[in-house]
Amino acid sequence: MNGRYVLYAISGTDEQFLLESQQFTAIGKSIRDDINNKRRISFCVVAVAVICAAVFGIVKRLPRSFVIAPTEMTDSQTRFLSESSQTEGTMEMVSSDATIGGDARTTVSDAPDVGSAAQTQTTAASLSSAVTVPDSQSETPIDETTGEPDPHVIEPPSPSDPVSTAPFVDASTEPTTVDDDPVEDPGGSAGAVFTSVVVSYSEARDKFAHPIVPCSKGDFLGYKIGIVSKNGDIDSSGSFCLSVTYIFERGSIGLQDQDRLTGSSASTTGEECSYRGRVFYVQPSGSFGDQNVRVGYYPSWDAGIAYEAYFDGDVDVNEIMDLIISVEI
Amino acid sequence: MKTGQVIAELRTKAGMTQEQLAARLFVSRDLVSKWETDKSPPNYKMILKMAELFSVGVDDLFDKDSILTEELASCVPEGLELGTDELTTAVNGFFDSLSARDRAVFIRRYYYFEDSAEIAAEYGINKAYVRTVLMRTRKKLKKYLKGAFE
Repeated sequence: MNGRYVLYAISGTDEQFLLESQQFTAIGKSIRDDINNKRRISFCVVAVAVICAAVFGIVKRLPRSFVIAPTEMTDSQTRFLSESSQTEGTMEMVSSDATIGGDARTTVSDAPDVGSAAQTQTTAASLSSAVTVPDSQSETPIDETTGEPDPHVIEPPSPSDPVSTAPFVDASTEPTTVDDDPVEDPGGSAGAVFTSVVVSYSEARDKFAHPIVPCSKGDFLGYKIGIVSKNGDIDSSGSFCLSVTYIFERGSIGLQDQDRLTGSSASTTGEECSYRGRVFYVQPSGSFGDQNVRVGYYPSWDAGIAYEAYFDGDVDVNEIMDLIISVEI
Repeated sequence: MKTGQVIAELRTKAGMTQEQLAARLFVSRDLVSKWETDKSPPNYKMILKMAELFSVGVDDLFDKDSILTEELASCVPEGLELGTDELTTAVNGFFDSLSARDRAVFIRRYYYFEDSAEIAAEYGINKAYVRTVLMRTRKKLKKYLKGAFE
């Protein structure tokens, strides 16, 4: 058995690992954080060793008259050790400050994203299609003037919480949307769009009617509205979703990441229509026994993003195609 | 000549379109396009399929063969013989035991055939670190295979 066999075996790698390797931003950040942490530890160890060596070097050179008797020497040694411990503590505090500063910047910049930090921490795989709610029962800072919980201070989301990208919604009430009824999936399956819903991985398959490809924890944690481009580039720090629907007054446009869905949406059904340098597939109203018009756009055919619009039958098709172009990634 | 150019030439010589080649290999046309423009190289399994399809040697399609297979030769415990399916299952089990970081770097190298500089650029890390991770992971793979099958 030689290297070629191993190479062949590696070409059978599970798809979840392949997808994970495409999370360049998240993986890269994780590696850089690990390197920086190791550097800090090495720096502290070396600094302490240098200081201890310097301190004991000075002690050795002290004149004999200053050297205390053995029992008192023990106390003296203890003092020196305490001082060096305090020094060590100081060194750690200095490096921690630097770390805290770095983490704070990281936390603030990643607060809306969550994904990269959450990928290695959360144990449950849960999927939120759109809006999720910060835990309103968590401890809140106290308002110094009133002594009451300060309603204006919003704690940053913890890495394990899904993060909302929309205005706060009370989790105890049913989520309200412009249209409470589930919008029909432009591809033809019911219940493709929900808001303020948290579902488990197994529920997601039934609810969204998509044969979702099994993926790792890192794929669903920190779920937010974002699209992975057709080249696998990540729009946010390691977070992405499988499909998104933009809802308009008289219709909707669904975007699906075909690289992550089993099967593809691409279809040549309908009239081929060239418009603004692109090829669209238009199914006029009446095609499915309803009065709606469907327009499909598949820039990379069965890979990358599939765009499918679903509008009232009397909406100008050119306007629909303009809208698709406006949301094109 | 780069692998992408070779694939494009062989395909054209065989009178096939990208769609037809994609259909024969059960991949998307977009993926074939990426191969031919060297945006993303085909994995080894695809290379074997294309070599068979175009009746050429694997070495005609895979110009990095000697480097990668030499590197991976160090992962094989002496005297170990496994079937390809068995080895594939073992490799996936090994990947499961790795951290996400080490796994990603290893896959970029030995699945996507990227060199250390490309991997370092993608992840924003040092090239030397990539080489270190790859070396350590190869050693771990050897140890893993030894432990699993001896």
